[in-house]
Amino acid sequence: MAGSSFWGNIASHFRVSRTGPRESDPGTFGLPALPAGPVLEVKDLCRTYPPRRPGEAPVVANDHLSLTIHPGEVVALLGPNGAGKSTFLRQVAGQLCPTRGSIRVAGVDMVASPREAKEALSVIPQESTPYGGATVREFVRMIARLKGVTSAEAASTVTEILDRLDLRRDADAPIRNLSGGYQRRVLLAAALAGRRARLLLLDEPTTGLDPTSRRSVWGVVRELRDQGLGILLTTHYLEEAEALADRVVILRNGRVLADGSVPEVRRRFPAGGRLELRGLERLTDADRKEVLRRLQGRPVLSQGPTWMRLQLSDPFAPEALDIARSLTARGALVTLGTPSLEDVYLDLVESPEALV
Amino acid sequence: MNRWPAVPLTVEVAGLQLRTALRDLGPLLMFFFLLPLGILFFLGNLVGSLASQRQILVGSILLETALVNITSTAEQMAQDKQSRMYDLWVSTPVSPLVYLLSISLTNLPLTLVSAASLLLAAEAFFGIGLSALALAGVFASLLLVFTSTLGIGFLIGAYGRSPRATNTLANFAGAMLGFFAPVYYPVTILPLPWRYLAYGWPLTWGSVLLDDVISGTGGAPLLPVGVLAGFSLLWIVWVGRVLRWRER
Ligand SMILES: Nc1ncnc2c1ncn2[C@@H]1O[C@H](COP(=O)(O)OP(=O)(O)OP(=O)(O)O)[C@@H](O)[C@H]1O
Ligand SMILES: [Mg+2]
Repeated sequence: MAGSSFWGNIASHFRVSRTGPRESDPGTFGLPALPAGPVLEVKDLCRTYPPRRPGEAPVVANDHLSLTIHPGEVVALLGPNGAGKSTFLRQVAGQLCPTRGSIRVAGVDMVASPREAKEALSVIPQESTPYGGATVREFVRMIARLKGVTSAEAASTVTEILDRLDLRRDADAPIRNLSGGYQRRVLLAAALAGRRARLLLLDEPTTGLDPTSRRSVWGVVRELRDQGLGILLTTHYLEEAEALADRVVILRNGRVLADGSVPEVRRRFPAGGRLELRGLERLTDADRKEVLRRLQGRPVLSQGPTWMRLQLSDPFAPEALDIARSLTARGALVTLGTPSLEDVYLDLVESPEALV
Repeated sequence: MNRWPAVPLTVEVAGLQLRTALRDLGPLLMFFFLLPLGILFFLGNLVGSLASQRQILVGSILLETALVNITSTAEQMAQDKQSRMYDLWVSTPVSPLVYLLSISLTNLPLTLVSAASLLLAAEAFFGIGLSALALAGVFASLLLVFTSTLGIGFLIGAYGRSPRATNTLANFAGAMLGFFAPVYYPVTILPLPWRYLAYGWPLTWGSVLLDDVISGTGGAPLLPVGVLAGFSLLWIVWVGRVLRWRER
């Protein structure tokens, strides 16, 4: 009853397609000419999980999310625990079926043609640990092979990657003997092993790393971006998003609260600036009164006995500069500026739902 | 479009996992040698007749082959889900068959060595000698038993709700196999309704086949071979075609 296509289909499970660049392919890092167009195009992605307990409502983890990433772009997905970041990444990586919406990786539909789409991506799942019994070299080689690196190319590709991630010294040690940070690095090495990856999905890649290792991961991410990969990462470290991301997307309850470059997201904040005053104890009583008079009507964000932080609509308006100048002349220490990404993030995710 | 078969890939990955497993010899020795040899001696000395001892030999070889195939595949999957290595696999452009086969093939060489040790022990202690042809038949049958139980562990691993559930289920399946499957005794001593149930289980046919091969009785064991081949095909079709390894 089954025709030849049935057997063809079964046989195809024993094959790995090998499209794209040939012998002259410069390898994993020297990527061949990139096809034009975005590396990731997500439209109206929805994902609902069954209710946690019977009788409760289903969990809407992703609610109509759309996101486009171009080659050479780093996008950071931010949001509190349970915001739906991993759910989003897992769908893009082909690990989880979307409830609704479309995902195209390098132009290929992830739902309709998962195997072709997966050829164009690499992923580090959240809280993943590599096979402990394997050596670093063995593990990276295995992943490289699974991603279509040929047996002949594998040795040199792996060596190249290990060198680049500073793993050469530990190449032949069992992974379980490495520290947690180095194990993360091994995962990053494995993620680099795909020869045609256009999109890198990193779910909290630097959680648990020391500051030096974190910066070295940043370095790798930047290098890969410069080579034209699109990178989507999640992080709870806002300075990481600030340092790395061309764009940040802030999620809460599966919905986008903000999307744009770091300066754009900062500016989007209703009051664009902050004025911080320190050293109020150095002012005479008369001066202090005068200060308070000039600042009257401006919302106080927080204050202590000798300092206060106020909101300004535009920290670079002449009026604001004038206030700052006169306060400085009276002996206070004044800082004027835009809020940090962390300020904006906290204001956004902690604000009541209705205000967003 | 240039395609190449993933068979060498599967074998390479299995080889790597075997090398990794060999670094941890303790559990391997226990699983593949101490346990089956112990059971062979214990049960073999309990029963008197040569025919019964032969059945015990068949049971020991079979259980070792099938148990390892089922429980260790399921347990490996549970572990891979825990460490998220399963997710990593799912995100690579290979079929779940490559994953399943690479795990199973890891166990195959050890299974065959273990079977050889059981055959040697049976010859030395119970005088069950085998001709070269029968030996070849035993190993061919074992391969068939191996493929016919291929998907059971994977089924448990793929649909297990949590690593704990998976491990519990795998151990339960193993215990059921050990106690209730007619491998240490001939299926014909089961009362009728149970016998029909037993015929739905690949190991029963493995037992029939192995006993035929070892005792050298009867003609070509076409029926058990056919049934076992049918089970093997079922797993391949199911893992290759039916299973979506993306989480629903
Ligand atoms: N497999 C699952 N089954 C049911 N609900 C799930 C499942 N995975 C996630 N959820 C729920 O979906 C929501 C989003 O979870 P998700 O893991 O995507 O969040 P996250 O943003 O990655 O959080 P974190 O920062 O803690 O990693 C949560 O409410 C979570 O409880
Ligand atoms: Mg997460």
